[in-house]
Amino acid sequence: MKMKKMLAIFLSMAMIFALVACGAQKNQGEQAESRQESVAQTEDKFTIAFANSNASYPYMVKLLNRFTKLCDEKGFELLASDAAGEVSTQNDQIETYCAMGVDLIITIPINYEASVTAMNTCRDYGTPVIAMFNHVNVDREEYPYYVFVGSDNVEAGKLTGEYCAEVLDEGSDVCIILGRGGINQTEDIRNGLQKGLFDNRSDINLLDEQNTDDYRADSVDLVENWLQAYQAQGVDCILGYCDDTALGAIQAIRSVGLNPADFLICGRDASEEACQAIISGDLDYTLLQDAFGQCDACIVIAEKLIAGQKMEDFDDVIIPYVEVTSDNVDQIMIEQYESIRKLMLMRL
Amino acid sequence: MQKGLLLSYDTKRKMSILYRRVGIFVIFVLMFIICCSVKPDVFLTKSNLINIMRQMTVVMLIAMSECMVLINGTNDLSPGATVALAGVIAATVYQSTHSLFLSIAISIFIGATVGFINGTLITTFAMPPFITTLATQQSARGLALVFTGGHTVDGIGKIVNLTQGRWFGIPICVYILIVVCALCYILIHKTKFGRYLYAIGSNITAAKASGVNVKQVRLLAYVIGGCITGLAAIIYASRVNSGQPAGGVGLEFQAITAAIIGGAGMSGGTGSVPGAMVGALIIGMLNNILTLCGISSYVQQILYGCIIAVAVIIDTVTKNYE
Repeated sequence: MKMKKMLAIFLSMAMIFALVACGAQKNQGEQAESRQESVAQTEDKFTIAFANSNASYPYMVKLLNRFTKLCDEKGFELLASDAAGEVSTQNDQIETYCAMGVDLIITIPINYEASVTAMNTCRDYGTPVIAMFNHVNVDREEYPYYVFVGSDNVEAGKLTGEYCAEVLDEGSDVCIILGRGGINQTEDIRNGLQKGLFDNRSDINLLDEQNTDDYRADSVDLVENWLQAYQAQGVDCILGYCDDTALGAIQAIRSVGLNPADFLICGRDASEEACQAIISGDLDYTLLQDAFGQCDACIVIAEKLIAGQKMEDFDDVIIPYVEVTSDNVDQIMIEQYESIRKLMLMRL
Repeated sequence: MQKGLLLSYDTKRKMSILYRRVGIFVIFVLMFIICCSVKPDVFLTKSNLINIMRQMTVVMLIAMSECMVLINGTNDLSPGATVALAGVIAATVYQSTHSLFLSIAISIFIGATVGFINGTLITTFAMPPFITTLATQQSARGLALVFTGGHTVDGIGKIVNLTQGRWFGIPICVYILIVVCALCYILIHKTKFGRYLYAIGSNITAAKASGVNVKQVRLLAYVIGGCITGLAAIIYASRVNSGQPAGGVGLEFQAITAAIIGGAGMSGGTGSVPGAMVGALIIGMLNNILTLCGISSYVQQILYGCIIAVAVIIDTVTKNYE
């Protein structure tokens, strides 16, 4: 008797779920048609969902702070999430945002292929989505709600490589600290370095290249071991995947009693600490990825959506990297970090 | 008497007992010899050996903490996050006060606080250690990120001297490590507290029946372990020249691996300070020699996984013969 009751309850629940799912499916189809029109018509606050890839990385913190500021100014509602580097988590978060009915999703896709799942969800719901920083493997004709805003990671590697190609002596020895394995950005940067440096200078020796997970701490250990392993021929140049790895390399060089100024060390992102390291002469080169420009472009798209334009109207927005060396680091510091300093002081 | 296929039961039993006493040290020596043979010109140099010690300082300190909790039959997944939290707070304190002593004290205090929370939840509310310390891990990480707004805390001045400063050519952090390991050895192997740890880990019921205050001993183990983790935190910050709210990820697993390689068992009652130290050194040497040989980091991960599996298998097999 008890079994029959349980079975009856279970079957009832299954029927209810099926009905709800059918209704949602039907609603989804309607939403896909009218989503963009409703953005223009609604009187509710325009809601932006920012699906971050890894909120603990300094560059991502910069993006979030900028979005927070801009959304406050424009009167938008901002929802933010952090996938902590896990693509399935990010896909789930984007799915949740779509189901919530947000007006625009801005995401930093973790993987070129795996993030397609999230783009499919956005397409099914008709939710406009901006991919920042990293591309997703989608055809814009098939994904009309998708736009890319960001800088070209291959170009980043190429610019760094070209700088080194100009500066390095004949037959220099180079080590490369790569990012996490399995993410497209790591591959793109490496491809760019190949084009910019190794394809242009066949005399350059690549001693070793390794992936890192904990960029700063892993880089310290790695570079210490490299300096030991290649003591005989010496290491002339260390190419960091990002500023954190370059700063870790600087730490390692100091810890073995050497002077970072004797090495060519390159990073990427032009973090405040990296800029200070350029001023002190420890770091030679970094690339400013214009976080403010990227965020501003996303907000401009949001405003145009409210004005009635559609995502299909927008081209991808490519914002060039800015090379940062001792020649222009002071100016970069003033432009990029004065405002952040003021923001932090205001919050205190 | 049971007969094995190749060796008799008695022989296997004697081998197991011998392995559990000295096996890890034999493996360490063998590994050292192999590393010296593979890269004789770079491995066996003063600078490289100092590198290994410096690189393993944080892991070895946390291994002392893990050893204590593993022996008494519990575990701790929070050290990595505690390192991040204590590190950023200590770095912030230094920025305000420029006092190295105060920064170290605060770091140790934060570690002790996390340990106290862990110990209290596990002993007072009988929460499973795995879940409890997983929860504190998440909370500590979140606190570190909230405290800093996700930013690194740089400008840590004299804190850097802990890893870059040297006395008689040896980094200061190595001296700290030696002192802490010596104190842990005395605490675990030469005091009543240490005997209680083993008793609880071996048979908690018998320990209770013998009058051991299990809750008090376990709480103390977590607090002392937390203090050591707090010290590891400021050395970590020194190593990366900043307070890193997202740093320290996976440190507890390296430390647990070191303790297990050194003879500690997940079920409790076994393990030793010298074993954990040697376990950490084995990991450090492996890390070092693989990089010196230019082995890909992907392959390194596979090797670490295999080492953990082999260590646990040997531990399980030899335990059956005791």
